[in-house]
Amino acid sequence: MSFTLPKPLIPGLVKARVPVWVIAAAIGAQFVVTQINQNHEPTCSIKFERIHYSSSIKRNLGKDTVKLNLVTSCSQPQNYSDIVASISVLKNDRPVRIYTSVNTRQKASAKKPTDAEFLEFWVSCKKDSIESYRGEATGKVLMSTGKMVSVSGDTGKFLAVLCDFKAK
Amino acid sequence: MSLFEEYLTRGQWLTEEERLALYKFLLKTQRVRYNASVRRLLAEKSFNNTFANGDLHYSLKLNSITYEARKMGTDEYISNIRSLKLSKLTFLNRGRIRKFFAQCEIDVLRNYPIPGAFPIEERSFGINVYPFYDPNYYSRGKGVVVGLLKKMQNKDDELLRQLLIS
Repeated sequence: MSFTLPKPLIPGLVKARVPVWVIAAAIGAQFVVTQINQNHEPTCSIKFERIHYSSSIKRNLGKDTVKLNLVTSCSQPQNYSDIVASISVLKNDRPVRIYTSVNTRQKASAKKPTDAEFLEFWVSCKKDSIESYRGEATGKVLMSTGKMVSVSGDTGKFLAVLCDFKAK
Repeated sequence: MSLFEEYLTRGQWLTEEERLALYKFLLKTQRVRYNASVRRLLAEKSFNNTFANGDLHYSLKLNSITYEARKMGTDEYISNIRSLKLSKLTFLNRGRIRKFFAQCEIDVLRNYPIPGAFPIEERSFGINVYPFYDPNYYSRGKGVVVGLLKKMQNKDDELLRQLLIS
């Protein structure tokens, strides 16, 4: 079944239609408002690598260690990030914190100014042992605009790591 | 090669304990050099120095010392790394500035070691937020009183002894 508008109505509808420039202006205004909000509200998060046995520390320092690498990543360029990281191990089904870093400041990456990479958090492990580890980090990011943004996060559930090269 | 010379090549591979021992080592062994640098900075308001593989530029403005650093052979300085506000009790400042110099040199070594046996990964500039001379370093930001108590418990360690005898 087809439906057609009665002819007398058509001119009325055309007259009532909002002008195209008003719609364009409204969309433009909405876009500008969204951009302004985004510019004033930077967001940052911590991205963690999986905790792993560090073959580079073994090679260079001769130590058996597990390492927690992380990156603070923001929606806008940052100046630097200050981070305190910790590593916990599961002992008798209970988490025990075995490492807490000093408050460490890392300048934003030159290649990717929205990010700051932290590669110095590690703790010794007993060779050939298997333990379940979890990493946490908390801190703040100073954006290039001068705004400070708090960040925190963790690696999720405890994951078993073999304290040896084989873990790689 | 002495242990100190080895440390100058370690950079990012220095542990926190080694950095602290090296800081104490510098304060003990570089007093004369630091005193000369203090005099020069207070007189000229600006002072250049090198340490490990880095250039340091200190400046004194509005009763505050700041420093910037760059890898030797490069153009661009990393600015606003650390600052030290001078005390109105001027007799305290000489010792405080010496500690500031030692801390800045540890910062520079961490990031710009002398090329040697240890691989140098390209990273952005990293430092400890609390310098070794700040009691907050020992209290992990939990205040000066707690920090001073913890600092008193922190004795000169084996690493410092090894640095001094090597």
